[in-house]
Order: sequence, then structure tokens, then C-alpha cells
Amino acid sequence: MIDQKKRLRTVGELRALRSGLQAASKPKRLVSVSAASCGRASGALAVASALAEEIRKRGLESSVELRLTGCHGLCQFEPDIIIFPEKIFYPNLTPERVPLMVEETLVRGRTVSELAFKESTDRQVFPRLDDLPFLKKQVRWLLDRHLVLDPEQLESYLEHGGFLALEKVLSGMPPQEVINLVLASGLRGRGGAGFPTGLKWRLARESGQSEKYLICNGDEGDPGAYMDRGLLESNPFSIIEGMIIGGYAVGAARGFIYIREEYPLALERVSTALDRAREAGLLGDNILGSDFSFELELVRGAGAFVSGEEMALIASIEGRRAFPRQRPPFPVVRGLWGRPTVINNVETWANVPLIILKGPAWFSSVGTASSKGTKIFSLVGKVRYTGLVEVPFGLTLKEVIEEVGGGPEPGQRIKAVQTGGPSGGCLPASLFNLPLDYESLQAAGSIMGSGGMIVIDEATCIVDLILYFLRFAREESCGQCAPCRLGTTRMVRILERITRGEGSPDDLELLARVGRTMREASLCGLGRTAANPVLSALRYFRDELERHVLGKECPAGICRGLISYRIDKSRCTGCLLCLNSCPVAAIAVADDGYPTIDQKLCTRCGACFAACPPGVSAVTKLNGKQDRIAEKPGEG
Amino acid sequence: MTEKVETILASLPAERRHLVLFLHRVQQEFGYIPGEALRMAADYFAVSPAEVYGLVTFYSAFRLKPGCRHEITICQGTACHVRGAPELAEEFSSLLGVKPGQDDLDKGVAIRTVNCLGCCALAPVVVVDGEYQGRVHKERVREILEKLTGMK
Amino acid sequence: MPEPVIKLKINGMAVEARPGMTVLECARSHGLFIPSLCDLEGLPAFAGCRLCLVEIERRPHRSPACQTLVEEGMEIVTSSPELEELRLATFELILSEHPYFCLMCQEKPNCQELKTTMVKALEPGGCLFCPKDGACELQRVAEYLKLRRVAYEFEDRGRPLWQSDPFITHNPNLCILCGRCVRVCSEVRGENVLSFIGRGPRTAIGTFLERSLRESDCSFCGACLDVCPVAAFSERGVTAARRQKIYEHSFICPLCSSTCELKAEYLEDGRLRRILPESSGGPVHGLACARGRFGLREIGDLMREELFPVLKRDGREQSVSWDEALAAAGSLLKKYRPEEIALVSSGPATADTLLAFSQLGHLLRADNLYYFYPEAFLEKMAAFEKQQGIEIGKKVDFKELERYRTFVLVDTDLKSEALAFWLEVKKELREGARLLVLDSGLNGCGQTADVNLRCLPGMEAEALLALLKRVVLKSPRLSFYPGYHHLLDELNLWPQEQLTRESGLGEAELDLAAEILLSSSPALFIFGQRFLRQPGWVENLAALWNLQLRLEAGLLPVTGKANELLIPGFKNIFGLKTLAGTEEIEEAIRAGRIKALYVLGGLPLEEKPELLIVQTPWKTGLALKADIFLPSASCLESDSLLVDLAGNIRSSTLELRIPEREMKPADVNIISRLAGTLGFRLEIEGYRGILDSILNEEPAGNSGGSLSYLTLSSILKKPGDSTGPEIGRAGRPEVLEVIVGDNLDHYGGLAMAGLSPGFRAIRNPDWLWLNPRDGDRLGLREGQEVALETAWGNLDLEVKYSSGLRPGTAFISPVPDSSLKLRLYGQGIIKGTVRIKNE
Repeated sequence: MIDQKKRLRTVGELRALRSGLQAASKPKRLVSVSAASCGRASGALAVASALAEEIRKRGLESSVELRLTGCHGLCQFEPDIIIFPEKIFYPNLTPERVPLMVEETLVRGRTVSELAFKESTDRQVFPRLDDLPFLKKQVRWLLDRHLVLDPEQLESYLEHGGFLALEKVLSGMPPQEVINLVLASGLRGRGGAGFPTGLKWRLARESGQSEKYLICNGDEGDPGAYMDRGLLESNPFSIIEGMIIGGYAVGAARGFIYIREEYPLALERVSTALDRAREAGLLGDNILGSDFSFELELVRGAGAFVSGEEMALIASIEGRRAFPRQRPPFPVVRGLWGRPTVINNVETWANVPLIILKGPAWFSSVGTASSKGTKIFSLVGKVRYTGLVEVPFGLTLKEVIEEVGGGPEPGQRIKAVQTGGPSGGCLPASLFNLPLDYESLQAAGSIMGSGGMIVIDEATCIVDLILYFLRFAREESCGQCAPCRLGTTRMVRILERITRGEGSPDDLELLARVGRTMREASLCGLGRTAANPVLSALRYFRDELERHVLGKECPAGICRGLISYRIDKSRCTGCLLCLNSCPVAAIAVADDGYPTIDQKLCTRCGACFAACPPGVSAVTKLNGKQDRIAEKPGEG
Repeated sequence: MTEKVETILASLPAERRHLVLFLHRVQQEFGYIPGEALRMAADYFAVSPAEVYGLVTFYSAFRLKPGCRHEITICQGTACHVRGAPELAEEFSSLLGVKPGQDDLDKGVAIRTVNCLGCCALAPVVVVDGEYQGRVHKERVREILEKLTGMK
Repeated sequence: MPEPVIKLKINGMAVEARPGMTVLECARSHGLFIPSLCDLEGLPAFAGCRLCLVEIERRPHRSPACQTLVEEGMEIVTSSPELEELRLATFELILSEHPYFCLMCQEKPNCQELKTTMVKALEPGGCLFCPKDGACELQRVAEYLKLRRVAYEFEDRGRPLWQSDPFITHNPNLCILCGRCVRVCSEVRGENVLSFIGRGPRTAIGTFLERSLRESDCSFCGACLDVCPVAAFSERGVTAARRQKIYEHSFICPLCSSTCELKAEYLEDGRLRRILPESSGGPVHGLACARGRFGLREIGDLMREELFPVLKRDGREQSVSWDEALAAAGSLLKKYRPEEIALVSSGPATADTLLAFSQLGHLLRADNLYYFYPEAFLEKMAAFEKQQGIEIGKKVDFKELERYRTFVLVDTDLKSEALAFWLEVKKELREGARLLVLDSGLNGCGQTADVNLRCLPGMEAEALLALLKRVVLKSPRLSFYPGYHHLLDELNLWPQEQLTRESGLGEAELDLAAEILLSSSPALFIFGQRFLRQPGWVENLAALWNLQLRLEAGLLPVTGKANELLIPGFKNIFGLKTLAGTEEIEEAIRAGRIKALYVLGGLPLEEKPELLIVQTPWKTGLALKADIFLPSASCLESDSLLVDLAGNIRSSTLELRIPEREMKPADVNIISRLAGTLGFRLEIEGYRGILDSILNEEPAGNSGGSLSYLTLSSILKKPGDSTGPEIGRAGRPEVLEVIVGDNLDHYGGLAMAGLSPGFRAIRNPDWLWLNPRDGDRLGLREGQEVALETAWGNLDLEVKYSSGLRPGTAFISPVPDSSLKLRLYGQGIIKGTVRIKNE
């Protein structure tokens, strides 16, 4: 442990501390437990304590180190453990199976194939992490460190090369050179817009103002995206290091890390990391004996999606309603308290130390002509393997969804992928050859955004999905400008009408017009992109929309105004489970002794459908508006 | 109450930017933010009371009324949505007889929704009194509630 | 230096603009109309309505013209089919939540004549009852965009109306959330009552905890009414204008030093419809306050109930012609020797009236010419200057305010006493100037202040010394003013903690205030009447003088009575003595020294002299006793000549005559005609010239006065000094220190709140303001009737809370309409206990 009172006074002292840590003798084996938020939600802590208990019982303390790390990115398999040095991977571990694992692997050195990952299709066993198909196409520059780092220990970060980049910078690299390195690397903002980071830094450096600020935007609000949470919970020091370097480069003495309040663990870990860095003299006055001083402060959000917008974020830090302000002037000219402010997102900052350390040539060796390096996506939704994936720019959607994500869930077909969250668009499976880079996605009517990737299959209704996004955008609109506040509300009304089966073909034109207005006239990025889900749906899923408004049917069977339930007497056993399950008493026993559904009372909640035993399946879901169903002959 | 609020105020510099942090701390202390605390904050941070109210009503994290003993938070992230979060909310709501977003002080249980907890791979996610639960399916709702009512 | 010019192109046309202009301003200055709803001259841009979007070469997104500053070489397109479609689509979105049927009504072109158009749609709707009809800004935009249909059904938000306030109604269902009201309320007026609340579809205009305006420290300036583009904020009881012709005329409000130009609107039947600020400079610049626009509106018609003079003959009242009344007055006055005649002017009077009144007095050689004013502001200032051999700067030059970086208000609520001046100060605050408030009483500017120093009552001098001491310690630079070293020695006599303790202020706030004074200089110290009304006023002035001298700051006295006192230069040109109480005059009447009394306005007089002539717009209590009552025209309907704080002469001439409205003669004309019956001739036409020459006279300047530090130890009071007779033992928790504030809410001898229920609801002169904590401690609740017991007598009051007051103090601002209240005014600060009255 670093002596709390001992600040590192020089670069040399930091170097000495690191080599001391690296040289210290360590247990042979390391058991890494994925213990970020989602790991914990899956029971990682119970597994960890079972492990600790078992290790203690068998007297393995000196040969085995148990470490709670951040997110391994293998979220589908949480709670998972990885055993080093072999990198044996055990997914979905439960405390009950821990004794077996410890006995076999830690004591006898054998892998337990029944605990190992199996591809469901061919029953092939993958005991080693590196063999996982999920990882095959990934380039995990950032995520790989999450497997070994203890996010709360500065020593752990140092031991694995932490603050080497800062060391390099403070050993005589002029700020301009730092900026040149970042510029040369081609690093672009990972928050969505993809503005060249080095250029932003240069503008701030050359602003001619003495007071400047840095902000780390950790207000990751896109529903379905959690790359930044992963980074903040797993490797907070890398973000701190990136910001210190950024502060040095642009000449800022203060920075803020803004984290949404829905991420309590990230807040806690960053707070701890800041304390550790401060104690060690890596923050504060005259860092490592240089004449550079830098302070970082943690700011906790308060639940507003719009505060991820940079101008709104600034207002939020200042203690105001998160109303965005018209740009220009951009924050790099007039930001926090009117001063030049560099805002980058979490992943961007995390990339900075790597670029400094390994050089721009290394960094730009992967990616496309305009998008360099890797990008983390949160691959979720209706795909077999979900989690955080880090891939080089330029990989196609198909590669990510099918090879990394393992394709559709059994028995389903993938329909589309939503990238960029509520600001992005829904891209159909036919476009899956599209390479992942800023420009391609935008040209296709979506955006990269911060990296959310939600796969949907045929069981997902596009109208329902875009209604979901528009409701989200409506609730999260700050309310300042008319097109966004009212446009989202109008779209929600129109879409609700469509899901009720009351839509008309004119409604699609109206949606397009509202969408255009929002895109062209809204004040901030949120409003300008809030219509993207609708506009992309109109572009790629017009057929499905038309089936809603013209055919009055919902192909996915989701929109309640467009489906109905009936009881097929020929299959009904008269068990009356359906009748008992109905929350609105719409089911009654008819004269013939069979239950029937009163369509006027039915709310189409699907309770009867779920209650009917699988072998019987007498309750059937019919597609199409109710009054039209009545004319249809009963099916089956 | 006022003494506690004053202690919280005294722990923060009187700069407007700490207003949000103040509100977080007050809510942590009382479970909600009493009107008097807003008034005191306005005075302390030299922001008009109306503006403080405007701020507190902007952010969804803040509550101006006392909450319930038990809280069930259903994540409404996209991944959760496509994996059935709406039906989940409906199930909780119908079993409890409490509408989402409304506090039922008599029953002592509130159902809340949150935009995304960032645990998307575990969708759908429900937080029961602060404890995250992943892959919650409709069938588990009754079990969760029984456990919760057993706690009462 | 010639002003730099920016060259740019709008719609291909080369135009020039000043730096700092917005594209919208530039376009408008060249006669181009760009629709906009949230922008308003004088308000910071909001860019929320998005109707003013224009295309600017090389900018990827369209820019709001209201927020984009002109740049050299800019090429702007303000109109194109795409832009107009975008505007129309945005406008339709706005209309989806605002009733729009009136905008497209087919009867619209001729409903003026038909006058039959009724409610056309769901409430709220229908143009006949829309108070904004004809002035609604949506109408102009609809016309410009040639709106034919709206793609959405109107969706009523269904929110409750604000109906618990007098004068102001807010209908959130008509609101388009342009935010003008929020901006004018906070940025311009400094009221900070309104804010955006909620988010997304629930965004609304709201107050703290969504309370009524009355419970939100709203001063009812009405600015929200003036700027609202639709009828979301509307004046209560004012209906659509469309049904009849509106007559209007301008007048200058004489009620305080701001001399706001107001506009009165009358209906065809002669009834007063409403009073508005005259808004030649745009609605943001038009000034009015609750007194001028609502108070006068409520009493405006009452002041016309008496149209003809009343003569009391043999105990019988008789309505007579003006000639008869004035002839009678003249002949009766002639019967008295000059020393037996007294003339008293009371209540806000115009400068020309006062000139005529004093001139008549001098011609009559009357001994007793009074200006009824329950404090001797003028005399105290003059006495202090004379005694200390100094000159206090007196003239406010609005143009010079920008050189001050900190404004310090000491015992003056500029919002109430000098609204126009306050708005000038607010402008500087928006530009980054700082504001400190030092006050022991209620100060409406306190919440806007960077530091609001609420000191203990009567301890202003200690607070100023505490600041002085900090300033000297923090920045021990030598000053070359005489007596500086002596000052340092003297300051050592008062330990820091003693000053802090005695002033009742905190270390941190004093430190911060001193820091601001040093870092943001120069400062302008502005002090008001209450500063001089305290027992320790000499110490107050001395301490203030030393502090401003040390900081090389400005010093400025402010009074709401600028017109009557002729504050610039403190010239008592009228030669009127201040009559601070009525005892003196009543004694003279009883003793028979004064036999004839001519009163302008009202006077709380118990005794009646042999001859009493009362001239006032209405029948006040005194007028009922009068032998001759001369009902003059009110300020609403008179020509006027006034002087403001800055020493400017403001004049207005009543031009419009309303057919159905009988006009009364103005005060100055009555006095002049009365003088005629006495054989004198008053040159009232020349009064403007007289005032002009007095005001432009070179001030004596500082040449005569010395610029030196004043010795404090000899004049500073010792702690524990009594501030008058005490009631109860000091230190008893139920004893409150009560600060007596000024009350400018009266006119013509009567309290506005006395006659107007609405005004009373917002500005009850019988409120006892308490800090809520004291209320709790004393077991009181708001609205409760209590008796305030003081050594001078008891007042019946109603409890009202304000957290702007420091605990242990209370605040009253009674109208000086009784001898008790006059005595309390004289004390400035009193000790009192509160007793709950039996219910």
C-alpha cells in the first residue's frame, strides 16, 4: 500500500514504486471475478465469497489470489471467473459449484468441462477464454485490462503499466507534442459526433485564455448502452490518467468527471480512484514535481438524458436546469462558466494513455481511413451472446452480430439492429454488410452514437420500438425548444394512434414531416436526432408501418390494438386456467362449457395466452384489428 | 429537520454548482426533499427559490414527497423493453394494485421506472429495494413480491 | 471614434450592422420581417421557438437569427421555400397545444363589425373573450406564414389556471413556453419569481413549490403581462378590446422617483379599462409597478366620484361650481392674517403643483408652509454635511453607472423606491457587476444580491465598520486622504469580533462582501431613507462615508420622494418646511395661532381650524371635515411636470379627451385660479423654465467640502445604547425589533390598499412581516390578526411571513395616516411584542 502521507514527488519515485510492485512476488494463480454492476446483479459477490471461503478452507491463500475486477464484458455469462495464467473461463458460475471448481482447477489443475462454456449448437466445449467465439473478432485494447485490474487499487493499475503515459508526458514532452500525437492518431470522440479529439484540444490550447476546463462526459444515457459504465467501474484510473494528460496538453488546471446517478458503483469507484490518485500526488499541485497542477472533481448527475448533450452537461455542472445552449459558440470557445472547455466522453479519455504510450502509428493501425482504433459496443437485445464488445472500426454489422454475437436466439430471425440509441436508427438485416464507422452509419440514417447496439428479431414490432424511443425522447426532452418538445409529443400521439389500429396512411407522411422539422429546426443534438428512429423506420420498414395503418395488423403481434386472443375449442381441455388468469374478467364459460373471451372487455394483456398450458395451446393470438378478426374464420 | 439540512449546507461551499449535490444529500438523509430544504438552499446558494424549484423538478432523481418503504424499480432500457419490461411492469402493477410512477403509501410499495441501468445484458432488470435482479421474467414476479411482503 | 461597421449580406443585399447586433436585429433594421415568438428586444436570446431560423453560408445547421451575432462577410438567407415550410411546420407544432381556431376563422375579416364571434372551440378558445385578441403575436405569424390548416388536433393540456392572485391570471394551457416571462422576471426585473419547471411535455412556467404569486414574493410589477406574446399571462378583469373603441392617453406616475410613463385605457363609456406602461422602447423597457398599474387602476374611477366642489354653509354641504367655490375660498382666506394661515402639501404631488402651491404661500406671506413628510431626510443630510464639512454626491447619472462594478444598497429597496434606477443597476449586474445588500429590514433586492447582509436593526454602522476593517486589513495600501492614520488607530479600538457580533453578521459573509468590494471596484454605495431614520443615523453616515472614501467609491442617497425633495442637489426650492408629525400644527390650531388651513391631499388631523380647505381627487377623511372641498383631477388625468432621481424633468400633456368622461381641473390650475381670486397671478406656463434653470445650476460641487475621514470614536454609539423607550426587558424572546419601512402606496391622502381589495391582497399596509421561525416560536400563523404593542401605542396587524427577514426582527410599512404611525415613522426602529387578538 502507498503510504497515505507519501506523495510521489518525482517521476522517478513513480517509476520506482511501479517496478517495486511489479517485482514483488505474487501468487501463482489469479482468479478474476467479474464484479461490476451487472456481475453483482447476477450474484458475483456470492460466488466471490464462496471462492474465498473455499480457498481459505483448502489453505490456498498463498498460491491463489482472488480478485474482484470490473466488467469482463462477457455479460451474458455473468457471473463469470477467469483463472490466470491459463485464462480458464467459467461462465455463469454459482456458489454451489465453487467447491467443485476449486477442487478440480485450483487444487488439481484440471479444467472442469461441465462448467466450461459450450456452444449450444454443436456442444463444442471452450474451456479457455481466448478460444471463445465471442472474442474471435474482437480487439480488446481497453477491455482486456478489465480482466486483471482491481479497479479500487492504484497499485493494481500501476503494476499493469498505469501512469506510464503520464510519466512519459511529464518527462519533458511539450504540451504541443502531446496534442500532435493525439491528432496524428486520428482519435475521434467516442461520444457520438466523432469530432477529432486532437483538434478540439488544439483549439482549447490556442484559445488564449488562462482559465480552461476539462470534462469527462460519463452521462451515458442511451438506454441499451453501458460501455462507459463498464470503463468507469473497471478501470477508473485510465480515465483519470487520460484527463491529467489532457489537462497538461491544453493547459487546464481543473477537470470534472460527470457520471449519471443511475451508476452508483461507477460513482463510488471513480470517487475512490480520485482519492487514491490525490493521495499519491498524481492530482493536485505540482504533479510529480513538475510545474503542472491539476485537480479533478466528481459530479453526480441527477437523472436527465439531455445532460449528456455537452451544452446541457455544462449547465448541469453549473447547477442549473440542463437546458442546452445554441452552438456556436462551441464549448471549446465558451463552455463551463464561459471558459474554453474540452468535453470528451469516457472512452475517448480512456484511449489517451494508450495513444501516448504506444504511439499514433500503433493506434491508427486498425480501423478505416477515417475512423481509427477500436470502439466498444454494447451488444444487447435479441442476440445469443450479449455483452461489451471491442472491435476495430470497419468491421461489418454482420460480423459483429453474427460472429461476435452468435446470431439470433434459437428459432428466431434477426430483423434489424438499432445503433446509437434513441438518437440513432434501425438498420435492417439487409444492410448488415455496412462497415462500422462514423460516416457509413450516418449515411444509412443512423449514427454510431456512443456504441449502443440493440439487436431485434421478428418478435419485435418496429412501431412499438419507435414508439418506445419517442416516448423516451418526449420524456427526456428538456422542453426548451418547440420542435423537440412538441414534435416528440405529436409523434407519440400519432404512433399511439397507429398501435391502436386507428392510423391512416396520411399519418406516415405526417410522421415524416414532423421528423424533418425536428431534425432541421431543433436546438440541440438531442432534438435534431430524436426523430431518427422514426425516419429510419420510414426508410427501411415502411412495409411494416403500412401493414399497421393499411392492413391494420401488427406482424410481430405486439401492438395490442392490432391483435386479439381467441380460444380454440378444438384444443381446449376446459381447465379454466385462462379464466382464472384474466385480470379483467373478460373470460367466461359459455353455454357449451368452454371458456370464451369477451372481446369488448379484453385488454389483450396476454395473461390467458401465457396461462394456457404449452401442450394445450388453446389460446391463440390472432393478428389484425379486432373488428376484422371477427370476420375471419377461427384458426386451427 | 432544519438542523440536519443546515449541517449538510455547512459541508458545502456556497457555490451554485453544489446545489445538485446538496439535493442528493438531502434526499439521502430524508428519502425525499422537503420544501423547507429547498428554501434554505435558495438562501444559502443565492439562487432564487423559483429557480431551485425549477431545477429540482427538471431532474428525475429528485422526489419532493416522502417515498414508500419498499421500492421496485423496473428498468425501461431498450434491451429491457425488447425483452419484455413493459409486461413486467404490468405484472407488478396488477399484482400489487399500484400504478407505476405512483407511490402507494398505504401499501408501502412504489413501482418506479428508470430509463436504463446499464445492465442491458441481463435484461430485463428489476431493482428491489436497491438489489439488482437480472433476467426477471413474468413468472418470477410473484416470487419477488412474496419475498418482499414477507419482509414487511 | 467612428463606430466600427460590419458588412454582410442578407438575401443577397449588402447591408451594414453594428458589432454585437444579432442577425434578427440587423434584418429588422433593414425592414425585413422574420417571424419569432420568443425573442424580445431587451431580453437575452432564448432560441426556443425556432421560427427565426435562417440559413447562413458555411454553417451546417440553420441558425436562430435571434441568437446569432452578425459577423463580417456573413451571407444570410432569411426566406426560402424550405425555410418557410420549416417555419410553418414548427408553427403548426406550436399550435398543436394552443387553441388555433381563431387564427383560421372564416369570420375573422369581418368580425370587427359583426361582433358576434363567440367561443369557437373547446375552452380555452374563442377570440371574443381572449384578452389578447388583436394583439396576439400568433396572429401576425399566422398571417405571415399564410396558415390555412393545422395538421394536428388541438390538444388541451388541461392544467389548472392560476386564479388565486389579484390582477394577474396565468393560463398554462395557452402558454407557448417562449420563456419571455421567466427572462423578464429574473434577468430584467430581478424578481426571480417565475421559472421553468418540469421537463419534457410537463415543462411549464411555475413558481416556488407552485404557490400563488402572492405567496412567492412577487411584487406584481406586471412585466410578465407586458411580454407575453399570447394570453397566457393576462390582466384579470380586462376583457378583449374588440367590442368597443378604446381611448388612451399617457401620463407620468408621480408615486415614486421613477416617473414611469404610463398609459391609461378607457372604454367608450368612460370607465378606466387598464393601465399599462408606455412601451415606446418595447415592452421590456416599459416600466410600471403594482402601485402605478394596479393600484391606480383600482382607485382610478373612485377618484372621479366627486366632480364638483363642495361648500359647507351653515353645516350643510352644497355642490357648487368651480367659480363659486374658488371665489368663496379666496374671500374666506382674505379674512386671515398671513401668520394665521398654513398651507400643507401632502402625498405625491407634481413639481408644478408644488411650485404653484409654494408660490401662492409666499404671495400670501403665509408663515406656515409645509411639506408633510414623516421624516426629515433633507434636513438630516444638510445638517450632517454642514457639521462634518463634507459634501455627499447626490446626482444619479444613469449613463455613468457602467463605471461601477459593485453596487451596495444600504437600507434601501430600490425595487420599491426607484424602480427605474434599479433596472439600470440590473443592467450592470447582467454585465457582471456585483450587488451587495446591507439591510436590517425587508429588501426586495436582497435575493438578487451576491451577498445579502441582514444586520441587526440599528447596527448598520457596525456592519459598515466591520467591512471597513476587513477592507483595510485585506489591502493595507496607504490612502492619501487626510486622517487615514487616525482612522487606522481608531479601527483598532473595535476588535473584529466585536463588530461582527454587534452587527449580527457572519464572518464568512462579511469576508466575501469585503472581497467583492476589493476585487470588483469601484463601488457605488446607495443608501435610502431608512438609513437616516434610525436613532444612530449620524454614526451610520459617518461609517458609510469612511468606507466609501477608503474604497474611492461613489455615494448616493435615494428617496422615493425625489420629485418633492428635488433630490439632485437637495434644493429645497419650494421653501416648504418638513412637517414630520401633526402635533405641532394641531397645537397651533388649538392655541388659535393657525386659523386657516389649505391642505393638498390628506393629513391625519384631529383638530379643525376655523377654515379648512382641502384639495384632493376624492373625499378623504379630511375632505369630509372641510369647509371647502376642491376635487382635483388625479395624476391619471392631469398634465404633469416631475423631476426624477437623475434630475431630469419629465413632463406629460394630456391630449386625449374621452367623450363620456367629464374632466376635472388639475391641481396646478386650481391653485392658479384660487390665486387669481386673491388678486395674484401665477406664471404656471413658465414653471418648466424655472425648474430647468434650478436643475442645471452648477452644483456647489465638492470644492467647499473636505475629503477626509471622519472621527468615529466620538460619535459611534456604544453597544447596549438604548434606542428609545423600551417595552419589556430587552433580550426577552417575545420582544421583536421592528423596522418601520416607507410606504409609497398612497395617493391623494389615502392608502391605495384602503380602497382597492386587489391591491390590499398584495400590499396590505397592515402586515406584520415576520421570519417564519419567529412565527413558529411565537405560535403565530400567517394571516392571523395580532396587536403589535409598542411604547408608543398598539397597532392592529396581520401576520405575514418572509424568510428575507432575519429572525428576531419584524417589518412594518404602514401608511402614515395616523398620529401613532407618524410617531413610529419618526423612530425608525421600535421594540414591540406581539399579542394574538381574540378571534
